[in-house]
Amino acid sequence: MSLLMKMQTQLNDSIPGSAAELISVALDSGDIYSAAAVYGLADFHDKKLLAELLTAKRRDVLKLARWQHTPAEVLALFADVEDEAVRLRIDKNPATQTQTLSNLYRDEADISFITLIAKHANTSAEVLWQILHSSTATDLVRAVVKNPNTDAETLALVAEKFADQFDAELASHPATSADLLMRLYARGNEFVQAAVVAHKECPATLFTLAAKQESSLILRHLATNLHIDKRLTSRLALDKNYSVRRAAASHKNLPAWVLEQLVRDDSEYVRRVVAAREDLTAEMMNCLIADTDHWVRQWVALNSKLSDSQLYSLSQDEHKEVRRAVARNPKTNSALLSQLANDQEVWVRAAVANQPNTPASTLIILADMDDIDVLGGVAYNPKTPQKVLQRLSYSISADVRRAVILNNMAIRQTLLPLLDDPYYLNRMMLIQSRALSADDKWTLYDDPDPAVRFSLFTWFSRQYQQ
Amino acid sequence: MKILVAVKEVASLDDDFEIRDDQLDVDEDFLLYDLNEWDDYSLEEAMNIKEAADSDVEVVVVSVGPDRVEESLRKCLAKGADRAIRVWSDEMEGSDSITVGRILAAVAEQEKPDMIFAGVQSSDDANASTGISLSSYLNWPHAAVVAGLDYTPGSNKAVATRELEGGMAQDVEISCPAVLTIQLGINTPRYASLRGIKQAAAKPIEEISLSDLGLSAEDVGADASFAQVRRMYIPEKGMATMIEGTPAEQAAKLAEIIKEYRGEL
Repeated sequence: MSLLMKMQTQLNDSIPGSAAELISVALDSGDIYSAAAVYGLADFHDKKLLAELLTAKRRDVLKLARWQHTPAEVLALFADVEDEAVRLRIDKNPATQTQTLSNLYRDEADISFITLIAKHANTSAEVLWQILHSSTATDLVRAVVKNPNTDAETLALVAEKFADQFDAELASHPATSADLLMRLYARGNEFVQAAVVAHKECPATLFTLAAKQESSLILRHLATNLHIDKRLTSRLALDKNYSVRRAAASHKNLPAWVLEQLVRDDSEYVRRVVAAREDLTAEMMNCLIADTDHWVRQWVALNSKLSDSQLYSLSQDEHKEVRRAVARNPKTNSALLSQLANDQEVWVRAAVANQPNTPASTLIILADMDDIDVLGGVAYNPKTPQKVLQRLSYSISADVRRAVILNNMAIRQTLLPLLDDPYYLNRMMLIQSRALSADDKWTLYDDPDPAVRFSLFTWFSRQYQQ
Repeated sequence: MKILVAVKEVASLDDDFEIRDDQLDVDEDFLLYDLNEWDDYSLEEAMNIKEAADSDVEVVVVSVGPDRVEESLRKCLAKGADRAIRVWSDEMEGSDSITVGRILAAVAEQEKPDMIFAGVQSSDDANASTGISLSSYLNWPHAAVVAGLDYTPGSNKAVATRELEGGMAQDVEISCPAVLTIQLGINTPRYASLRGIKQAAAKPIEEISLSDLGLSAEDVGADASFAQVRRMYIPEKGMATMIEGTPAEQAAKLAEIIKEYRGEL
């Protein structure tokens, strides 16, 4: 008997009234996905029963140990299973928690498995310190140095123990101390020095040293450091190398007089970065609106300080991406949006459909168009009338139906038919909807898709945990 | 009017897997099963013909395999197939694609369809021979790698557009009944409706064994097969280099490698 038939036979449609009832439904169903979802909610006795169900078949354990949605508590349960293939999956699973990884490390002898633990984003600084003391294998040390949880003390030890072998990784690590960065700069090559001067902890004394270098690589990285002062930013923004000027062009410290020069920079790469800044004056924006490079015009068209006339001018641009940027600009008025709704390019009309300022009357017109991107935008727009949303909820496109589900203004009556949506992801998303009641959602308890059942039982678990 | 659609439940591999001790296959615990992608398109093509027809068209899906194959057959029923047939006897274990073609031909002789669809190939074994073998055992015409089809139920001719190398296409007029192997992209397979899935869960699946087909144990299985697996293994990997260093250093090294390959260094 299939799982679906079993669930339909054994269960009824009434919503579980308590955590115990929810767990009981999961147990009765024999479904590992429902069981995994409620495992964290169960008391000692039920946990034992759920554990029996979850670990009954090796095939199921392997499947869940690999699945990125498996709850951390279930992965901790699987960590006790004596099976190398299961352990490999838990070491790799991004949901495995710090304590489980610590326990796995304690009993681990295989260096390839220890390397996986060293790479894991949830491995604690303490375990990483222990790993470093246990081996000098290059891959293992590199994994420790690359792990964002490794602390300054461990990184300093690597720098001391392995000479300059891992300087590149150390120079890029966010926890590297200012003191170590100084040493790395002194002994490092051009690439290491570049990484050091871009580091958020880089001491100011190194800024002065780096600024004297000829290397455009070092200067480019220096220009990205948010802690450099206005004077240095200005100097770099006027550097002879365009890549250095481009890096400095987005710096928040850039004075207006430098910005005025960069607006007319010879390199379009520099002007594109300038055009993306919000702190442009009307004059600067006028200059960028007339730029020959469409990327520059596209970036400036997104600026929220553009006047109506500037936006209108850009809306007449020959390039569709520029007109689309106008349609996406939060300051574009409804009259201009209605005009862009008739644009010959679908991509522009889709941006109008997605724009929250587009009036309902325009959205109704757009809803009669055929293109999926336009209909998806209308379906997602909070201003779209409910009747239009109801019509779009029957669209043949799963993407359009999903946009209705994601629309925060969609009411219960609009969403109810979508509980029967053929596409499992759409049904799964309905579980998070605030418009549907718990009773509505419970109709998915015997859904044929495991991800939907898991999401539903997880949602109910959270309700009972509150 | 009846269309028989041959489908297969294929195995896909988990990221890390183990090969069985006998070295003939992957350990089943590491396999994930699903309906072969090509067969999804075959079924959709049959459903499109059924839905566009003025007369009654029955779509029957058939698969050769053990109990677990029922899951894929139910998926087909959920998408609208009228009947599902599962063919299995333990003696069929180890049958190669040619032998599966022989088994399917025996089913076709009983069902007497007007047209048979099969996928171009299965994603796991990729022999691309079951459909062709089936047509050979039936002595029916066939067209392979069909990417477009013009066929009216009841007609004694169909025009199949075959996909060829180099982006070429070939229109072939074929006498019916025929076996067509269907290529990906011929249509857009539907998702089964939730109601369809629930109804399919309760629908019966016809089970046929070796004796029902008039075949003997000597006709099927590994011993009757033309090809037998001798060993399955992971070949030695080629050379690969991990580029280490700061992101800028990695980018510079990569640019250097590309220039070297392009002969610019």
